[in-house]
Amino acid sequence: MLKNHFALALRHLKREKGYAAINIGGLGLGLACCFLIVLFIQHERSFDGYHANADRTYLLTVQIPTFQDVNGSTPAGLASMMEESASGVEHVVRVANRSDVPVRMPDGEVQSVGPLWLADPGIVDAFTFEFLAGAPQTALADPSGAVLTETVAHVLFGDADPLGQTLVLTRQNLALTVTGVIADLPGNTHLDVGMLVPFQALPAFAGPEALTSMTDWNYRSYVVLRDGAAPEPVAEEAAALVARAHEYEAGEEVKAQLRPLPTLHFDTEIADRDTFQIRDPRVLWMFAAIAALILLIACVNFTNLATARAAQRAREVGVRKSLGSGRGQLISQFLAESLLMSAFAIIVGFVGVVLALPVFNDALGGTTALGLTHLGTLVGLAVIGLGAGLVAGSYPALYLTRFSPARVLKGDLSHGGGAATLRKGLVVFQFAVSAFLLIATLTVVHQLRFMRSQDLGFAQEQVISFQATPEIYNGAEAFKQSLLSQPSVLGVARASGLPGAVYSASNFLWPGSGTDEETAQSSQSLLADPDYLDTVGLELADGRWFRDSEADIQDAYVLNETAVREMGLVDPVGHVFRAWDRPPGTVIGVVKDFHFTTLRQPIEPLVITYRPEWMGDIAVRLAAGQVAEGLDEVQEVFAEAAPGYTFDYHFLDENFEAQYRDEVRLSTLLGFFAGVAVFIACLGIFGLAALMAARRRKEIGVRKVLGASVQNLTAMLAGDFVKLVALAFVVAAPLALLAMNRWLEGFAYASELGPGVFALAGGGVLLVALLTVSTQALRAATADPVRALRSE
Amino acid sequence: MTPLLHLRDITYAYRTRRGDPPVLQGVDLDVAPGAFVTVIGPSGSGKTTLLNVIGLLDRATSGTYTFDGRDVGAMKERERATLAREAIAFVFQAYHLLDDLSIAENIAEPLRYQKVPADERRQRVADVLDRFGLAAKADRYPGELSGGQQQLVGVARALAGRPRLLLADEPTGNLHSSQGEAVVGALRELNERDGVTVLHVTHSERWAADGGRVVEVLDGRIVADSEA
Repeated sequence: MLKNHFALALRHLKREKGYAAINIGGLGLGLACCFLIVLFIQHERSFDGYHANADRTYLLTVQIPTFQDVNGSTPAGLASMMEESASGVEHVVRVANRSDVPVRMPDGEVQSVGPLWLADPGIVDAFTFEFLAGAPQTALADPSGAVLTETVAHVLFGDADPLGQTLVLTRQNLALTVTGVIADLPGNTHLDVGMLVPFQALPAFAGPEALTSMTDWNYRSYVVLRDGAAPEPVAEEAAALVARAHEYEAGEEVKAQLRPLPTLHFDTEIADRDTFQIRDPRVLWMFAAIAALILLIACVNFTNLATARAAQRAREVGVRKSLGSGRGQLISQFLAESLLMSAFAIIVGFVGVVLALPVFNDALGGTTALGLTHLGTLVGLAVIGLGAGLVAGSYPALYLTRFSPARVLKGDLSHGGGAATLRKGLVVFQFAVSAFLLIATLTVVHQLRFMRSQDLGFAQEQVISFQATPEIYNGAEAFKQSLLSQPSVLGVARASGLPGAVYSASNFLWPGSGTDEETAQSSQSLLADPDYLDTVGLELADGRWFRDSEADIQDAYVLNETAVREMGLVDPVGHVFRAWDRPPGTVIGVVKDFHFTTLRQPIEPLVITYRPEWMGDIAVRLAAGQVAEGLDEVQEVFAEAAPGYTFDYHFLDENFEAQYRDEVRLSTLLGFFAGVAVFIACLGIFGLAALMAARRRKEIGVRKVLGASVQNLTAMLAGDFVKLVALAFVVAAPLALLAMNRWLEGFAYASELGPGVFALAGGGVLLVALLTVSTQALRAATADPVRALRSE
Repeated sequence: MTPLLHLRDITYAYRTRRGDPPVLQGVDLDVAPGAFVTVIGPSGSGKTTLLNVIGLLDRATSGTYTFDGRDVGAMKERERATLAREAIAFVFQAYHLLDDLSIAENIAEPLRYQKVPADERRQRVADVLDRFGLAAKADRYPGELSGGQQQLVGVARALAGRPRLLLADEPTGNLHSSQGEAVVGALRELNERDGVTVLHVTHSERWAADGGRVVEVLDGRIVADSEA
C-alpha cells in the first residue's frame, strides 16, 4: 500500500509541476537555512567538549578586592601551591599566551609561528591534542622542547621531518628543539596555538621570578581534577591561598571559581570575551528561533497551498471514498505525498547547505568550519526535514479527507470557510515573521552606522599602528627620528595602547576630598609619550601634556574628563596623585574624553602616564593624501631597523572596526535570513494568488463583461493579499520595537529606533508582496473573458 | 423473498436556516435482488440524494433502511463502510476516474480497498478489461480516452469489485446517444449475466422505455412505480 502511495504521489507531483516546484523549492530553502543554523548551533555547543578530560577540567578565575573583573588571569606562583595543598587536584596547568612570536631558523631566516603558548606539561591532560609526531607525555618535559602544529611545522620545515630540528625565539634568544607535532586544532576550541613551549621557559620571557610570582597576574590556570573531586573546595582553597599571599584583611573578599571547560564558551561572566571566544548563549537561542520560524514559514506554504487546492483534491477524495477507501487510507496517502515532497526538499536543502557553507563560514568569521561530514548529522537533518513534511502535511491531510463524498461529488465545497480563515492567519504569520526579521536587520545596520559615525574624540584617519620589535624597542628614539625624517610622516608616538585597544587597568591613589587619607580606585591606565597627543589627535581640556623631561617621567599624570568627574577632583591640575606602586606625583593635565575601548561601554576613567620603558606600540600619523607613499616609507624604515620581520600594521580606525565584528556578522546573517523568509513567504502568496485567480476565473470574466478595467481587477485580486501583509506588519512592528529596544540597551551609545527603520521594513515587505501577487492578478485580469465564461 | 433494499418513510433534509423543504420526504421503496430499476425524475427532484442514501454515502435524516435484511441505520460507521466497500458500487455521470491512475489501476483501486490479494487483483482486472474491450487501453490514462470509453471504464471499475448493488447516477448524461447506448447496454448485461442489482438514475425517459421497473421521483417523493 505504502509503495502504491508513493508511486501515486510521484505521478501527482509530475503532473502539478508548478505546485511541486513552489512547495519543494520553498521547503528546501527553509530546510537549507534550518540546516545551516543547526550545524552552527551544534558547532557552538561542541566547543571544548571534545577533550577527553573535559568533564574534570576547569578554568580558574580569581577576583581580588582591587580588581573585580572576572577573567582568566592568575599569578604563576599559585599553581604549585594549589597542587600541594588542595586535595582533588591532579594538575594545575599554567598557560602564558604570546601572540605572534618570531623565530630564527638555522639558516638565519626569521619566520612567524603564530600564537605561542607557554604551558605546563599537564596541558596534554587538560586538552586533547592529536600528536602526529613525538610523545604527548614527554614532549613538554624538557624546558627547551617545542611542539608545533602541523601547519607551523610545514611552514618552517617544509616536507622535512621536524622532530629534532632547532629554532631560536629571537626576542628571548631562546634555543628550542622540536619535540612534537600536533594536528591543527579544530574550530570548536578556544585554544589558539601555533607553537607550545614548556612553561619552565617563562623566565626568558618575564624575568627570573616569574615562575613563582604572586603579583604578576598574567597567566591562565587550567585545573584538572581527579575523578569525582568537587570543584568548589578547590576554588575556595585557591581563594584562600591568594588572600594569604597578598595579606588581604578580613572583609576584603577574594573570590575564586572553577569554570567547567565545556561551558566556558557560553560563560558570559568572563570579561575577556575574545581570548575565550565567549559567545552569548542568547545568540544561539535567537538563531534557533530564526531556524524554527523560517521552517514554519516554509511549512505554512505547504499547508496553505494544499488547502487552497482543496477543490482540485476534493473530487478525488470523494471518488476514493465512494470506491470504499477509509479515511485512514486517504490520510496516509496525503501524508505520503507530503513526505515525498519533503524528501525532495531535503535534497534541495542539502544542496543549498553545500553551496552556502563557504559564504556562511565566512560570515561567521572564518574560524568556524561547519560541514556536512557526519552521517549522524545528515540523518538528524533528514529527520528534521521529514518532520517538517509531516507537520506541514498533517492539517491538509485531515482537512481534505473530511469531505463528504456525497457533497463533493456534486461539486459542493461549501465548508471550506475555516480553511480560508486559517490560510489568511498563516499568511499574516509568515509576513509578520518576515517583517520582524527585516526590522531587526535594519536596526542592527542602523546601530552599526550610528557607531561608525560617532565622534570618537580623536583623529582616527591616516594613523597606523604596529608593535615594536625588540630591535626597534631598544633603539626607539633613533627609529622615531628616522620615521620623522620621511616626507609623508607627520608624527610618531610610542604608547602601551592605542584607542580601541587599551586594555590595562591599575590602581591609583590620591588624597580624598576633605581628609588626608588616600582614596584608592582602579582605573584604566595608558602609558604614552609626549608626541601621543598630536599623533593620535587628542584634545586637552585643561593643563598640559607630557614634556620630554625627567620630571614628567613616571610621576606626572594626565586624566581624562571622566576620571576627573568620577574621582571627584576639583581643579585637578596640580592635585597630588600616585600609582599604587609609586611615590606621590602630580596631575599635570586633563584630556577631553575619547573612546579608548569600545562603543559598547561608556567611557571609563583613564589615567595616562609617561614611562618610556613599557611602551611597545608605535603610532604614525601620515599626511593626508599621501597614505600610500607614507606606508612605503614607514615599511622601508621598519625593514631597516628590524630585518626579517613582517611589517604588520593596522589603521587606527580598524581597531574600532574589529570591535563591530559581532554586529557586522549579526547584520549579515540576519539580513540573509530575513531575505530568505521574505522570499519563501512571497513564494507562498505567489502560489496562492495563482490559485485564487484560477478559482475566480468566472467572476473575473463576468466583471470584465460588466466593464471592470484591468486596474480594477488587479487591485481587487492583489488587494486581498496586500491587506494581509499590512496586518502582518501591524502585528510585527510593536514586537520588533520591544525586542530591538532591548537589544539596543546593550550599547552605551545606542541609536534611536526611529520611524525610518519601520517605514523601510514595512514599505519593503509591502512592495515585494504587491509585486509578487500583481503578476498573477494582472495575468488573470488580462485573460479573455469569453473563454473563461465559455469554459464554465 | 427478502428484498435487497427496503426503505420506509425515508426523509432527508439539509440543516438550513431558511427552512427549505426536505430533499426526500417519506420515501418507501423495496428492491428485489437482481432487479433492474430505472429511477427517473427532473433535475432537483431528489434522485441523486436517494442514491447517496442507498449507497451509504449519506445518512437519511429519518426512516428505516435495511440492506439485505440488515438495519443500516443501526450500524456503526465502520460496519457501514465495510458494507459499502464490499457490496455497493457507483457509476457517476462525470465518470470520476482518478486522473493519476491508468485505466487498469483505476479498475484495481476498489479491489485494493477490499484487500484483494495482488495476484487475484491482476486477474480480475484483466478479465474485466477483456470483457469491456479495454485491454488495449489498460495503460492509458483517463484523459486519453473519449467520454464513452471513460464511462465504460467507470462501469468496469464498478463491476471489478463484484458488488451486489450497482448505483448508476446519470451515467449517460455526458455522452452522445451511441455512447449512452453502449453504457446502458453494459449495465443491462451486468444485471442479466452477473445478477447484479442495478439502480439506474436518469432524467431521460428514453432509458425508461427499455423495460424493467421504473420509479419516478418528484419533489422528494416517489410518485409512480411501475413495470415498463
